[in-house]
Amino acid sequence: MSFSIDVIGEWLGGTTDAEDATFASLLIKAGGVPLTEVDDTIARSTRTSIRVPAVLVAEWLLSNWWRLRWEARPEGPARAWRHVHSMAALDSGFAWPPLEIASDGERIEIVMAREASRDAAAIRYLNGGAGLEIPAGEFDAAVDAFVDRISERIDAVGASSVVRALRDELRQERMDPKLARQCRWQARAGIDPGEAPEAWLAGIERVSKEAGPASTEDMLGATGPSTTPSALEAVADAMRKATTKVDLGSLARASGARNGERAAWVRGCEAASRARTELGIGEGPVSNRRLGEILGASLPVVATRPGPVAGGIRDDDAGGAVRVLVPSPRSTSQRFYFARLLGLASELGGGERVIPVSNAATAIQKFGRAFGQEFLLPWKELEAFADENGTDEEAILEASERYEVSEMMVTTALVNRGKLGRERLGRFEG
Amino acid sequence: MGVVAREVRRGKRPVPRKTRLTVVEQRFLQENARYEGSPLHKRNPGDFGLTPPVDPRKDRTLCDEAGVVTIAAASDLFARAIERGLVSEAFVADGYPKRMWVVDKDRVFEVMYGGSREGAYHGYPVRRSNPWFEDVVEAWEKP
Repeated sequence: MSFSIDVIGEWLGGTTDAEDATFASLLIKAGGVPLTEVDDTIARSTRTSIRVPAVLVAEWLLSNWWRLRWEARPEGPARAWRHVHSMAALDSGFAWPPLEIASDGERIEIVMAREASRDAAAIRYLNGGAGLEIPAGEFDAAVDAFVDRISERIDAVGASSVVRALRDELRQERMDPKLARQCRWQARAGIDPGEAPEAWLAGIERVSKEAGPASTEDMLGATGPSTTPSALEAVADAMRKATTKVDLGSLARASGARNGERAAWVRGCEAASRARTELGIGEGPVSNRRLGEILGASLPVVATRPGPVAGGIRDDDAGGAVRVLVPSPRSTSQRFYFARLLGLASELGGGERVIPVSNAATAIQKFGRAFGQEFLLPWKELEAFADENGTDEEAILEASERYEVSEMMVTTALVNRGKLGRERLGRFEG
Repeated sequence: MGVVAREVRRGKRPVPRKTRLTVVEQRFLQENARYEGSPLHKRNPGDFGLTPPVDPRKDRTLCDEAGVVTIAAASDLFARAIERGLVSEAFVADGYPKRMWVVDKDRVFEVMYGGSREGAYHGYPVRRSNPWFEDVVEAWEKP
């Protein structure tokens, strides 16, 4: 497995209680890198594991499982999110690793922050900056295996612990389709499962039947814990009343399992490449005229400036005609927006009436952004352009004008593919 | 759903109480609570007089690493924690908050109930990488 949480060596404590019984050397590895490798200034040596009561880790993973497994990193300030997703928040008396777990629904991102100096402890973590993205199923397996190990130890010594009760509760939730769905909705929205009132759950059920299950979960990921069913219903209502209608049925249904084996952005790029071939678009930019022909609309269209969730609603279940909200009047923004919609419509399929577009870090939105970018600005062509013309601001401007996309899109593509440092995106912030 | 998980989270999340200690609560703690310290959070014995003097087997946060190396310094932080009155919602017994906090320059310390007798507390520094660090600083700075 490329990700593991293990207890290595002997148990280091006694049998007084669960913390004592599970005091052990804890090793967390991601992609072969020991994230728990530390410089121990008391022993004056390094070691790959930390010495902690492993039961505290098991309790954290179990009591926050749904949000760790399903909640994306928020767009804005993330301190409340980090209370749940950061291992550093576990227990203030221990030097836990500054390790964060984020999900896009299909894949789990595990990231260690850098530690330049010791932080109130005799140890300093050495592998900050390391991280990994893994299929969510691998994360599930690693957590299940670790929790099983801790549970066995606690049972063996007869210590009292909530681990068994947490495991049983979580198992029941995961196995019951209705409970699992409700837990996922709450987790996606950043709500601890069990905290949302019944009326909220009933409301989201209604939304899901109307908008589609995947779209609903994606919208919850975009709107956050303060979202209400009526707010999502209002989005769908605004879409139904939208005056702009486009044809998003040009492409065959995107194939490829959404099981996290391949990153959503990779699938998005591949789908865009196939789409260009399918639509007979050769090399070079996609003109507004051609894009308009595909969509059955004349670009640019009138903007409607919706909230955090934009997108459209299918006029009928067979796909094709979609009434859309349009966030921006700018031509480059609209081109990217409609390219994203085109990709999302084929990815989501006819069973999803709403096709949401947002800035959420969900797998669906990552697919859409990657599709939109690759459709308008094929990487092979941008790479060749950059090799010939360089990557300074003038070259980026020229590329953006040639492909009728924003300079930010050009820069982002170059940064994401390692051609530019991330600091180059700084000029687009604020 | 989530009943057991909710109880576990509530017990663990160090959420500061919205209201500070009342004058009556402060007086109770000043008369009955005592800073005792813990060898678990010491790298060097200092003058704490603990038994054992130090016990840093586990990778805990250490007072020494946060510049607290004498019992006088630790006791002063303890007194300031009571004075400022930033405490947890949870109380372990009548009059004794489970946690208190004190901010000293750029450091946050958590004071936890527990020791050799009723009313005994020990403390340790909170790491900056802990997201609760900023919550405590923010709560501390509120008038």
